[in-house]
Parts: sequence; C-alpha cells; structure tokens
Amino acid sequence: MAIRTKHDPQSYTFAGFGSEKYPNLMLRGAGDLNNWTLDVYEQKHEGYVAMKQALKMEPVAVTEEVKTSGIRGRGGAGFPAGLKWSFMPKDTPERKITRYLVINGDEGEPGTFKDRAILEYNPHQLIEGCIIASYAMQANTCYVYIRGEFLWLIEKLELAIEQARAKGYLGKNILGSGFDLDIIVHRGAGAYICGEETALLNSLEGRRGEPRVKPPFPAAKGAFGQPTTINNVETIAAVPPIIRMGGAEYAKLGTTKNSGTRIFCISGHVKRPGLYELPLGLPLDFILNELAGGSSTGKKIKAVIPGGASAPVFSEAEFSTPMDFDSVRNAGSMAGSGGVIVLDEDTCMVQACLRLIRFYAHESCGQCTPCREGCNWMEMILHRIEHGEGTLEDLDVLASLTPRIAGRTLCALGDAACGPMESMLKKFRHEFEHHVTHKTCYVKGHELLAKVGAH
Amino acid sequence: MNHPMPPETSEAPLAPGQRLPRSERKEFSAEALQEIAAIAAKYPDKLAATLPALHIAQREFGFTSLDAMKAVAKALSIPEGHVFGVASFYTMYQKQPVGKYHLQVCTNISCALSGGAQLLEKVCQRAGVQPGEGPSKDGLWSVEEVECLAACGSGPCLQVNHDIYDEYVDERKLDEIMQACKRGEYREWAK
Amino acid sequence: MVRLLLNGTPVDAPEGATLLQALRAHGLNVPTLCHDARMQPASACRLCEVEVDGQERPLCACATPVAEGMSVHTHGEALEGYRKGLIEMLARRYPGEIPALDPDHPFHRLLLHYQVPATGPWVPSKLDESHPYLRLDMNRCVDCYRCVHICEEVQGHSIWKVVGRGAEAHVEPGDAGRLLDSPCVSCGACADTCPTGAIQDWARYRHGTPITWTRSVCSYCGTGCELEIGSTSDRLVDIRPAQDAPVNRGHLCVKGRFGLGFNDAEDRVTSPMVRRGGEWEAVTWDEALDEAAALLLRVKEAHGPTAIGVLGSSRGTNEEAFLTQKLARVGLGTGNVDCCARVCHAPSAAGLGLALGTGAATNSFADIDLAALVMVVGANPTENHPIVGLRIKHRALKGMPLIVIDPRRTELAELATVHLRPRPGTNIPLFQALAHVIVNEGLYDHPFVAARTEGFEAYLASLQEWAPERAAATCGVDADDIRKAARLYATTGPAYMCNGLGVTEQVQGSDGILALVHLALLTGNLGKPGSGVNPLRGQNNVQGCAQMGCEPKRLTGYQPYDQVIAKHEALWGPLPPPGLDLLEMLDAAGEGRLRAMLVFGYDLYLTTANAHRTAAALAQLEGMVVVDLFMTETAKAFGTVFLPAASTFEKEGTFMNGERRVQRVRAAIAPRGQSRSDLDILLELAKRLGVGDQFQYHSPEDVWNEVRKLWTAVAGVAYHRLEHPGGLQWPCPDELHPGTSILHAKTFPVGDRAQFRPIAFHPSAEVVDEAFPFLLNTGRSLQHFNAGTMTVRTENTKLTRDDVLELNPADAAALGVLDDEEVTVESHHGAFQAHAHLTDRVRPGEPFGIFHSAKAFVNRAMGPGRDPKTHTPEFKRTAVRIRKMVQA
Repeated sequence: MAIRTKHDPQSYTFAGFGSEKYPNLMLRGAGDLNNWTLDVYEQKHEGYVAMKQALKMEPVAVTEEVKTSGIRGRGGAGFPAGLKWSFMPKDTPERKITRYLVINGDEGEPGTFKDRAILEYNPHQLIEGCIIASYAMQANTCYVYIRGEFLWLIEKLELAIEQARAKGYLGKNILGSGFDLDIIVHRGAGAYICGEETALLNSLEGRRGEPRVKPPFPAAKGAFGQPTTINNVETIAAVPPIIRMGGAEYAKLGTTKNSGTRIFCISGHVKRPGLYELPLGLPLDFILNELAGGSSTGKKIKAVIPGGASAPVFSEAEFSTPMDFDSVRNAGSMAGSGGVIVLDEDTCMVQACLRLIRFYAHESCGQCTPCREGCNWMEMILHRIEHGEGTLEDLDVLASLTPRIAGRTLCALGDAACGPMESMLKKFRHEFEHHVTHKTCYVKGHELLAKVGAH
Repeated sequence: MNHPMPPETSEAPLAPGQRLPRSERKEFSAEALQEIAAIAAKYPDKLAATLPALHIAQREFGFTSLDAMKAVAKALSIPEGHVFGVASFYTMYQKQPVGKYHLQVCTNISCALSGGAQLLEKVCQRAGVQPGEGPSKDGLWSVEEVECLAACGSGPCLQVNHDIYDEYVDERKLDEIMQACKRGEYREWAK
Repeated sequence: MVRLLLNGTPVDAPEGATLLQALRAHGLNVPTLCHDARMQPASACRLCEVEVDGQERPLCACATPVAEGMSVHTHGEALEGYRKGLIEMLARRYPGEIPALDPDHPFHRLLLHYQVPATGPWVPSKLDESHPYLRLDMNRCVDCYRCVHICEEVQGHSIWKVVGRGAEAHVEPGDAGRLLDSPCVSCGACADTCPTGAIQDWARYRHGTPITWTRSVCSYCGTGCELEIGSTSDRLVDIRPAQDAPVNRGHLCVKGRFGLGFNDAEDRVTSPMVRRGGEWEAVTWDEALDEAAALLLRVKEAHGPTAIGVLGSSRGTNEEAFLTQKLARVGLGTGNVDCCARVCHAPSAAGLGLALGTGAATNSFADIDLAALVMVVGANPTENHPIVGLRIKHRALKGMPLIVIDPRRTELAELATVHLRPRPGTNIPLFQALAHVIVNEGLYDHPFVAARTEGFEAYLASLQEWAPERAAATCGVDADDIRKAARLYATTGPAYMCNGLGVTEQVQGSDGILALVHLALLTGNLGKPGSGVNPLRGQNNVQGCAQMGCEPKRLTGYQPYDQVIAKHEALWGPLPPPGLDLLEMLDAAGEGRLRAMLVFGYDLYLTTANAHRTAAALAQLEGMVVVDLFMTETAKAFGTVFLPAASTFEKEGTFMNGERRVQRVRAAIAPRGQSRSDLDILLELAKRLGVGDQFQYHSPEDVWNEVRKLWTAVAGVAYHRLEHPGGLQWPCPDELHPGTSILHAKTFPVGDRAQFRPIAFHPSAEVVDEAFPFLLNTGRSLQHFNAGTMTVRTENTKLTRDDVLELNPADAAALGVLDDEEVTVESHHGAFQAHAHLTDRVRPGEPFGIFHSAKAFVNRAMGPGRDPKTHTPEFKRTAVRIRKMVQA
C-alpha cells in the first residue's frame, strides 16, 4: 500500500526560488511534488551532470574542488567539508582500506526542516552528491541515515536510488569509471541524539545511540570500525552544484569565509515561515522583515533563536547580525542547523526555556553525568519556577549549573541544552524573577505548555 | 549453560524496570524472518540489523513487546539484553500497546509557538485518553506527545501512525483527520 | 617515551598511554567513577577531567592519549570545584543513609572527600536479594555503567544493560526481572567493578570488607587463575580476581570467584577418624596415623609392596604430589602410584609425549590472542574453563574463524564458523578425514613436513581409507563441512587447537590425541605463536600431580624410568619397578592382589566409570586410608582411616596449570579444626613408615628444591622467582631463564623430527540397539566442579541443579518426559536417576548426563571400556535407555 501523506506543499514559503539575486542550488523545483523523479532532475535541473564530470576527474581533484568552494558543514558545527574529506586515510600498496560515507539525515533539531524538503523534492541531488563525495573519498558504501519518522521520505529515497541504479549511476563500475558504489538507507527510530555523528554511527551499527568517546575520530575509526566521513544531507546536496559551477565560482556566493547558500528554516511568529535558501551573510533583520514578512502577531519580535534550538537566543540588540557562521558566533550564538525561531514579545521566556530544557533532558542519552543529571536538574528547577514554586536561589543554582554542563559533556548535547538556558536566563532574567516573585508569567499571550500528560 | 531451578515462590521484581508487556504473538512470520535476513546481509555486522528488525517486529507484533524483542534477538542470534537496551532507547518503538490510530502531537518550541500545546489538549479530549495511557476504551486511539517532527514552519504538526503526517492542524482539520480514521480511510497501526 | 609536565613536574610516559595511566603511574590520584582499567575508557563520569595547556576545554584523562610536551594540571581550584559539582549532581538522587552504613565503597569515599551529603530517597522496590552471591540495591546506582561494560567487554555477556535514556536511564539485569532469573553466569565481575555497592557480594554485605587479601591460585580447574583471598581474623570472607594476573587478567568465573563456601561447610571433617566395628570414631592424630601406618606395613609385610596402591591428589600442591610418589616408592616400595589424570587427560599426556616428547600443552593461553583461527575439539571451555573460553569467545565475536568439534551445540559452537557434530566415539574417522582433505588437496605445510617430520608416506597411505564421504557416514556429519573445516584449519594460520575430554575419554583416547597432533604437524602449527595442541586440563593441579611423578610408569617430571632412574636412585636409594595405574589397581583389588590403598583428595569411587565394578573391587581391600576434607563417597563406603586435610586456602606451595605455569599458593587462614596439610600428613606417615630421615623438609620450598634437582626443566623455577604475577612456565632450566611459553620452536624433545604414525580405528563396544536406543555422553556444567565435593557445598546449588540429564525435546516427547522431570537412565552396566533438562543443544538420541552429583551417580551406568594405551575409561559413549520414574 502506498504511503499517504497529507503534506501540503503549497503552505510552505520557498523564497528566492529562481530569482537572480538569490539563486536556488538545493531547493530547485521545491514545492512541486513531481519534482523528485530522475527524469525531472535530469531534464530540468542539470541532474547528474556534475557526477559525470567528477567521475572523469581524479578523486583528489574532486576533494580539492570542494575545498576551493569553501563550503562549511550545514549540520551544525560548520566544519569545512573539503578538509573533512581530506582526513580520510588513503590506500597504501600494502593495505586496501574499506571507507564509508555516512549521510546524516536525522533531522531533529527543533526549528529545522530543510533536509526533509531536500528529500521530498530533490532526492536525486542528494544521491548525486553521495556519488561524487564517495568517489572523492573512494568509499564504496554510503549509508544514508534518516530519522524514523520520515518513513514516506525513506521510501521515496529508496525509489530514487532504484531509478539511479537502473540508469547505471549506482552499483558496479558506474558509467565505466571503474568506481563501485552502493547506497543503503538506514532508518532511525526516534532519538534526537542520533544526529550527533558518533551516536549516529552507533545507531547505524544497531546499538543504543550513545555518542562515542573521541579519539578515535570517525575518519580513523568510524562505522563498523572503518574510516568514515559523516556529512549532513544539505552539505552533500550542495556538492553537485559546486562541481558543476566550479569551487571558485561557488565560493563567490556568500562571504569570504562563509561561502555558498544555505537553507534557513524560519518558524515561529513571522508572517511567512518557511525555507529560504540564501547566500550566507545576509543580516537577520533583513531576512525576518524583508523576506519573511515580519511579525505575524502584530507584536514586536522579542527574541530569535538563530541556529536551531541549541543556539543561544538573540535579543533585539543582535538582530542585525549577518547570518553566517562567524558573525553569529561573534554575536554570542551559533549558526547551527539554520533553524531560525522567532518569538514575539507575548512569549513567556520561562515557558520557552522549560520546553526546550525538557526536550534536552528527554533526549539526553544518559551516558555522562553532567548531561544526564544536569539537564534533569535544570528541568526540575524550571518546572518549579513555571509552577510558581521557584525561589531566587533556584535562579542561582540554574546559573551555576550551566558552566558545570557546557563544555564538560561527552558530546555537544550538554552545550546544546546550556545554549538557550544560559542566554535566556541572562538576557531575560527579569522574566524568571517575575515568575518566582509573582508566581506567574511576565507576559500573557501564548501558552506553550500543554496541560495534559505527565507535566 | 544454566539448568534452571524451579522458581521460588517469593517474587521480588526489580524496580524501576517493571516487566515488559507480553504480546499474543511469539514468533516472526517466515516472510519477516526472510526480510530480516536480507537486511542483515546488507551490513558488515548483523548487529546493524537491530533497528530495522525492531521496526519489522513492531509491525508484526503490533507493538514492541518483550516477545517482539526476544524474537529479534533470536532472528539475529544476538543477546536479548542488547535488544532490550536498544529498544528502550528509541521512542518510536512502542513498548506498550497503542490504538489503531496512534496520534502523535509535536509540542516542541516551533509547534508550541503555533499552538501545539493546545492541539495536544484537544487531541486528548477528542480521543478520550491521556498521553502514555495506552489505547482508548474503543481501541481506536492512543496519544503521544512527541518531540520536533521537522514541520516547524507549518506547525502544529500531527502524525498519525507512521505514515500520515499533517501540518497546520487546527481544530477543524483535527476533526477531519479523526473522522477519516473512523471511516477507515487511513491505514491502521501495524497493518 | 614522551615527556610531559604533570602539575609542573616533568615526567616520562610510554607512547600510547592515556593521560590517566600517566597520572596514576606518578601517584597523582584523579578521581574516577566510570573507569576500570579492564575496559575501554568511557569518559562518562567526567571526574577525571584535567586542564591541558592550550586546550580550550578540560579533557578527560581516561580518554586522552599522552603527547610530547603536554602540560597538565590536575587539582586546580576550578577543577576540584567542578568535581564537587559533579558529585553533587549524583548525590541529589543518592539515598542519604547509605554512605555512612557502608563507607568502604569508592563513591562513598568521594562523597566524604568532597563533603557532599547524599539527599535522595531509598525505596525497597529497588532491592533484589534473589541471587545467592550478589545483592542488588539499585538505589545506589549512579549510572556509571561499569557493570554493563564489564559484562560485555570482559565476560562477553549482556546481562547488564542500560534501559531508557536521560535521567530515566538505568541498568537492569536480564529482562528486568530478578538477577537469579536472568541468564547470568555469576562471574561476579559487575560486583568487582561497581563503585557504590549497588551490586555487591553478599559475603561483603554480611561480613564487611576483608582486612587481609592473600594472593593465591584458584583451586578449581586447570586454567590457573590468580586470585586474592579476603579474610578477616581467620574468617574466609570473599575472593577477588588478581588484577595483574597474566592468565585471568582480573577476571574469574563463578566457581573460583564464589565457590569458597565448602571450606566452612558443616559436614567438613576436621578431626582424624578411624572406623571401628563399622562405625567412624574420632581419634587423636597419633592414633589415626599409627593405625594408617600399621595397615600399610601389615599389608606390605604379608603381601609385598605391590599389594599397596597410592593415589595422589590433583587438588593438592606440586610439593604434596611429589612427596606422595616419593612416599609410595621410597616409603612403601611400591610403583603403584597414580592420580586422577588417569581418568581425564592421561591420553593427552601420553599422545603428546609419544609424538613430540613433552606430555603437556605446546602453547599458552596467550596464544589464543595471536591465533588466526581456533579449533576447539571435544571441549566446552566457556563452562569448564571459563576464562579460556572467554578469550576464544571474544576473538570469535570479533570475527576470528572458529571451528568447534563437539556433538553438543555448546556456547562456542553457536559462534563457530564450522561446527562438526560427530556421534560420540567417532573422533578417529573425523580427524583422519580432516587430514585426508588437507593432504589430498595439497594444503599441508610442505616445508614443515619435509624439515621436521618423518613417516609421512606410511601415514598418507593410512589416511586414504577415510575419504570425507566415508567418515561422514560413520560420524554423522556432512562431508562438505569436513572439507570446509579442513581447508579453514589448513589455510588460516597460525591455528590454535585445544582439546578436552571429548577426545580423551574414549576407547580411542590416545589415538585421538595422536590424530590431532598429526593435524598440527601437517599444517606446521607447532612451535610458533598462536598455534599448537593444547589440552585443557581439568583440575587445578592435575598437570602438576602427574608431572610430579604420581604416575606408575614415569618418575619426577613425567620422565621415563630409563632416563632418570639413576638420578633418582642416587638421591633416594633403590626404587621399585614401574607399577599399576588406577584402573590396574582396581583390577588387582578385584583379584585380591591389591590389599590396601592410601588415597589423597580423590573420590575415586564416585568418579571412576563402571561404579558397580569399582565397588566390588574396593570392597575386598583390607583397608583404605583417605586424606580429604569431606566424607567422600569413597571414604564413606571403603575408608578405614580418615585423615582430615587442610584446604587450598589453608596451605602453602605451588600449583601447575594447563600451560605448564608454576604459581604460588598461599595460606590465607589457618587449617580448620585439627586438619593438617597433606604435606604434614605425608611427613608424619613417612616417620611411621620408618623413612623419616628421607623426609627431612622444613617447608614446601625445601620439597620443591628437591624437585628442581630431579627435573631439569624446572631447575630455574626458584620460589623467590614466583613472587611476580604469573609465576614461571617450564621448561626453565636455570635461574636466569625467563620460562617458556611455546614449546618445540626448533626441535622436539624426541629429536629433530616428529613421527607420523598410521592410526587404525577400533570402534567402541557400546552400540545402540532396540533395548538401549540412546548414546549417552557425560560431562560437566559451569556451576559445578567434577565430583561436586566442593561445589555442592556452596550456594552454586541455588544457581543450577547438579543432577541433570540434557535431553532433546524430540526424545522427551517420544518418552513422554517433561522438562525437569526425574528420569531413570539404564545401561548394560547400571542405572542412575537425574532431572531431564530439555534442550536442543543435544541431538536426538544423544542425551548428555551432568556427572557432578553423588545423588545421581552417573558412573553407575558407565561401562568397562578403556583406552588400551592409558586405560582411561570410556565416559563419553554408553548405550542406554531412559524411563520415566514410576510414580509413587
């Protein structure tokens, strides 16, 4: 039986599509549910041209091209992708190495919904990217890990893979190049932490999605003990355009150290939420007001989370920040996954904070002490404050907890939880204090917490 | 190997892990075993088939019962303890029975900003069950509050079972969806 | 070496070491909760975080490799504050009253050190007191997951597992029920590593942490695990594995770890006894010793020295075994001296001795790690030699090819690349067919065969009768599997082979070993790392006992009479000629030629096949002196003098393990009651037999030094050299010699070339027919040990039954037998009762009897079959029928 989705493409905003000013590289044809097929991809979107080009190049030259493009990983950490590829050990005359490419499609960062659109509308661009990247690193197996909830997208991707295989783009000796590649889709089962690359590897190997101790890093010992590179769906989807237009040309998009386009996922209190593929470096307020139409509630925008739920919150003072990795970091937050969450002034920051911390406490793998105990402790305190049972000492404990967690955990989830916690408490402390002293929200408006269930 | 002694009469179950619910079904079908074997062959280590096999188990057994987990361990010749630990880690493996239509509401930040919390309340009201309570009396519904489903730009989001994914769900749309379920227009859980 | 700065002090650390190793090596104590040197670093508790110059964030010392020029700060104010913060996080949910009650756990010491009060609740539902050895109080769990990791990484099990995630993550045994109901093998590793006492030994919960730890060697199987015996004011409290032991690497099995309860069992006999008018009577030592000596002298006088038989104990020390044979030969003038090796690995010693010149394992357990393939033949090491079994299991789990030859589907068989299941008693055709494939497909090691063997042509001709198809029909295995195994063994080198009693306890026992040695010779799997033929010895000192000369046809060092008699006579005076072995002694007793026996620590009646015949023979003796801890079945039925012996925990000396390793045994407590060590008893007897002047020893070391004089292979094994972990492996001819882990590197003791010998197959007389349709096999279980003398007096009895007949469910259905139902097993020779355990690990028609129980007394059904060369009985093949017990 075919999978039914009630997903309605018309309701998205796909900004910038087709315009000269903001060319779409990854969301070409997005919005059209028939866009995903091989035929459309090849006929309308220059599909598999880059692959054919790459297979004629030396693998090292492909990596060099990606290095030249300057593209930084779109998953969250912003590490230069070409450099990452170059860490993969090469074969020696004595030893042939099995290498893996693993694609991280465990999109789960609250506020982020870009990989889903790529899988929905442009799965072949991802496949083409996988082939080019695997060729560059000489990996003969590529695992695409996709979160379990995206069942219909997994089935769609598998169909697309079959189409590509039928055309000779996958399998043995691709287009006579002598290069073999298989793509295997691996379905997750509901765990945010599996977006962390080593947790993803454990999950791929059939284990609990607990992040691994580093070193060894995946490039030395990754999936099934072999050298592995893990890239985000969006990063890999950017590879075909990079090869097609050339790394140098791609590097002209965006800013010097933050080249290319990325997909901003805008949600919350704006008129036109949706996906915006934009060159890096546009100011946040420009994106919010000029592109996304400004506040949807008529109330002032009070705070923006600029890079997915893990990013420290921006208050008005930082709204002019250019949206690229370095500028956002310099402004005290992180560009992360590109999820931009907009909160208007009627949003209670204590509620918002509690909702986020509850998420992190729920998603902590439980392995390391500061994250397991710390997130739980923060959630309990925030819960007390939200329910009017908090004390001012609780605020001090909260403030003292973040330095015990951030930077001290096995993986970045501890940092992720502390991002919103620390910044919200610092920038909106008066709202927390009000909650303690008045036992109610500082603002009245949106109720973010359901009054059912275990809460 | 252990040659078990007959159980003593005194029972002292070790909390907090209460014994996992059993299911009527105890074994995989022959087709499922074939499917699992084919999946295991795709990986360099059969352990990697644990997650896919658990998905198949949930489909066959109706939920991830103790028996389902044991069947996975047996099918892949891997330790039961490994399967228990893995199954408990991932939220999509339902460790309790669910209704024919498992209603999953995202209440994470973006959905919450667009009314996710209120949607959850309404879903509970309409279905007549609370999250985590198991199936409603008529067996039709169960409710789960879930984390971000990547529909942040079009929230609130409601997922029914694992294949129906609705966005911009307001009261009217919720009613439509639940009516469609009742009319049997949507595929039932694990069918 | 790399140089780094630890808190400003320059130090050197080996390359590849972790920072934590370097810190600890230099006395810097950084706290840890999740760390255990036996496991991979977990980096989870974060307590070992240290500051490293140039690093933005602190690093976990446990997971950070040392690097040249690293400057590390370990105890700054910020770090210590952070550590306190972590402890506070854990203390929040930790039951408040526990630390003071039980302060001697690492986490409790940390609470005290950082002055953090625990403030959590304690709930009774988290207590599990079901297991006889391990008490679980999961209120104390701090989620360090050490139990989970040690269970997986060290024991190769998955009993402990993490369930849930985040703050709800917790560890659970089995399927969330009680530990006792889980498939736990009770190795105790989780309790050893637990830092809070959430999992702890009942013994320590009840008696507190032992005050004294005495390093010694395990008294169960022949693996030779080093352990530490915990005692408090002469009370035996607990046992823990020695962390630095090369054999067991900080691990033990259920027997060694927990099987100490027998030492203080209520029925331990601690005063000398003499049977008067049919009843046992407690007497003084002098009376008992006089009576014993009188019996032996009387028989010697009346019937000559050959009317006396002496049995050494494989449980005792080397020194005791040596004196036992000396007492027999010098004190009593009889060559009739033997030990229980006769009924287990005598064929291994004989076969290896004949073919290669040394009757012992050619390689060491460490070679398992170096092997490209392991072949396990007729052995079930994960149950009977668990520490060895684990090493094989770990390698197999990591993908090393494994061949298992065993009729039963053992734990290792389940992991095997090829599992060959011959019908019991058909080893020879199978082994010969393996050789047939290797030779005919040209897979043998041509240079090795050419350079180091002889007799190949005649051997090759003798193989031709066993083409795989013919062997397959005889053995009931698939011919293609034979080919697959043969090719795998021949082409995957180095290949480590180990064998158990499935090879030796057959009427073709010696030939079976010879055939296995041939396979190793053919493939060049001798004399190099990761290879060899390695019998897994059953008892702690069975290797030593035979090696010390408790062997009728051999002298000290298992050396042939003709080679060393002059040396012995020079020291001891004239010696009697070779005498009778155990089975020959029983024959002689039956015929009235043997009239008295002196038996050290050996329940021969219970453990020798064909028990009715054993009884008939022993009943004719004029008297029997038994030296033991308990009134064994032998003592009960036939003893006339009982001399209470000290246990392993109560005496000094050395044991020799199955890889020729001599290790020190030390007394942790004084002998119970009036018991005395065998050594003391031997000296007293020697005095009374009039040879006191030949038995002038002041210590076990004195005795050992005499062994060193008579057997050059241990001349270098001085007591003072045994103080370091692992002792020494012989040959070790002088005090500068490091010991030998691999034999036959360049030549064999038999010469430059080892001889291939044609082998003929003589089938067993035990055949199934309509009246006796089952082929009974016998053996051991994990939780119990041999005669059960020790383990049935421990709480291991709560873990599993000792009288079990494993039966295939199809057989059970045909017989109408239910699981755990008691059945009668009858052969032509006798019958026994046992509880049926239905399992498809045994094939239909091939039930398996667990032989530990005196209640079951499996040997009543065993027949008279023997290996013609060594007389080892045929324990592994008996035609039987099975009946439901008649309902009362």
